[in-house]
Amino acid sequence: MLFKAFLVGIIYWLSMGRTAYFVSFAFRKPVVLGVFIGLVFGDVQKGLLYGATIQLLYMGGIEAGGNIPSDQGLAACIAIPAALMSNLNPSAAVALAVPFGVLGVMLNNVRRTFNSFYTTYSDKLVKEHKYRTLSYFSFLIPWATNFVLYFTPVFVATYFGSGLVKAFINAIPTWAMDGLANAGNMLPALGFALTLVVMGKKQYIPFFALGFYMYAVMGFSMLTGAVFAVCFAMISSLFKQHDDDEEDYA
Amino acid sequence: MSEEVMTPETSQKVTKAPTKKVTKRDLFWAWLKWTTAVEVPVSFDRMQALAFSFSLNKILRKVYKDQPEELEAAMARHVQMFNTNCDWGSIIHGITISLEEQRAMGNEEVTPEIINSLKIGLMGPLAGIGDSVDQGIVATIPLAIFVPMALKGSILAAFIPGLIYIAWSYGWSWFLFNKGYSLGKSSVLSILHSGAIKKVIDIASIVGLYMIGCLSAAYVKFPIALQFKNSNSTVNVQKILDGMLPDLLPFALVLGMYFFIVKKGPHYLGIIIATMVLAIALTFLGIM
Repeated sequence: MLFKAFLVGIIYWLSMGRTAYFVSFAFRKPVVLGVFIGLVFGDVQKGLLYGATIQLLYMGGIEAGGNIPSDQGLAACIAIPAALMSNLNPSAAVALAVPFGVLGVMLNNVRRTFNSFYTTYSDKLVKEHKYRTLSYFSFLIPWATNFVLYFTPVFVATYFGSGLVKAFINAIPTWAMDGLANAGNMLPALGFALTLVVMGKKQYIPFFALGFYMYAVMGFSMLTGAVFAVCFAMISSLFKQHDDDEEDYA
Repeated sequence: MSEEVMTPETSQKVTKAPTKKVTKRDLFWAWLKWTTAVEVPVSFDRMQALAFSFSLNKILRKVYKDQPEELEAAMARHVQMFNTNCDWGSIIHGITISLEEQRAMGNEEVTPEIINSLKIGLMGPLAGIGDSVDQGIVATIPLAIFVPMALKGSILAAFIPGLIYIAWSYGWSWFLFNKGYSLGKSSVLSILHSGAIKKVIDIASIVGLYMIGCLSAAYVKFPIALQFKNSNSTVNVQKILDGMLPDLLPFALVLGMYFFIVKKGPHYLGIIIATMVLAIALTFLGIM
């Protein structure tokens, strides 16, 4: 168990420690983490099922400007091991994932506050011409800080938490569990709303409504949706006059 | 990196420090350091500042080898506030390296103001374009296509969206990093302001917004369980709502959050907690 908890802690650190951002961004998807955590616990298929179910919560999980609306990595790394150990049904795993997804945001805030110390220190290093040391404080040291910050809670939760999580789940009344599951159904809205904000063009909101209601009424596959989307975009660019103001995408 | 023939007056300046050229190898390491470190040292006050200086650290030490004061000034300007999209923003590093190299070789026209204003001027628009395209399209649409397959048990489907994202962002950032270095400042601004890139952004925005619509309809659920019973009939509130407009509440939820963020700013945590409280309260009261 110690070793498994250690591995899950490492998995979370790799996913949210953010080294090699593109890789860690792809790695931290619950659907991917599910496979690896499943591997640790010897049941890949079950891990995948939990991971993919939790993934549905975070379909629009955008991280505009590094502000994560919720931490899908922590949600997955706490909920999937607990679900595997206690043999939960997938919707209970989702209910468990929701609050930890929120908690992870605070972890990120702690990290960024802590990193402010290094940025402030960098001024001093530049003044003293210690550029090599500056390099260490720019990457390796913050990364090691991340290790302490991210590895520890997941390791502790996985090692000591199996019994606790089970007791916790049994103790919560049904309405609260159902309520969290319902919140899990509503929260993807935030990810999508945030994506709309980042796309940043109010005059294009009708295309959002068009996509929403074409899907709601017809229910086609997403690839079909992509074909429609490209067609609408091409058609509308035929009518586009290029006289709009300069920096409206800024 | 071109070995251009020096005119007499420039060659005189270059002889001050003969072996300062930035090589392809230097560029590769600077790019690798940027893509590796980018979000690691992020802080509230200066965002990706340290990742930027980490990327340029070695090149600056090379080009300003014999000019310690210039080197200190350059290091000091690159530990200042910086924040952009990791792969699209790579073009800024390319440009900055080419400008710092020109300055080190004695080109007085490249002032610190030009370098700073290019960095700050480009990081915002590139973050806007980059986040839309990367996270609105490259990261989201493959998930929408492959997660249903993963739910049915396909491990391969679990990995495909991530692999697409990794291939795209490494390829694109390496391309832009080099492009920035070879183009220099004027051509970059002209590309950013040309009609072609605008058209691409427009099309990408529309595709993105339409797909976000489909995804919202597929994944946001706001079911009402409330029913009114009297002696001879049952009134199901969800059925009434569906009769007016299907999926009215999920639609209102997404747009409501959108307008809240636009009007009141990015209070994500508040929105999440409010949603959780609302969902639990509505469930407790038997409305959901």
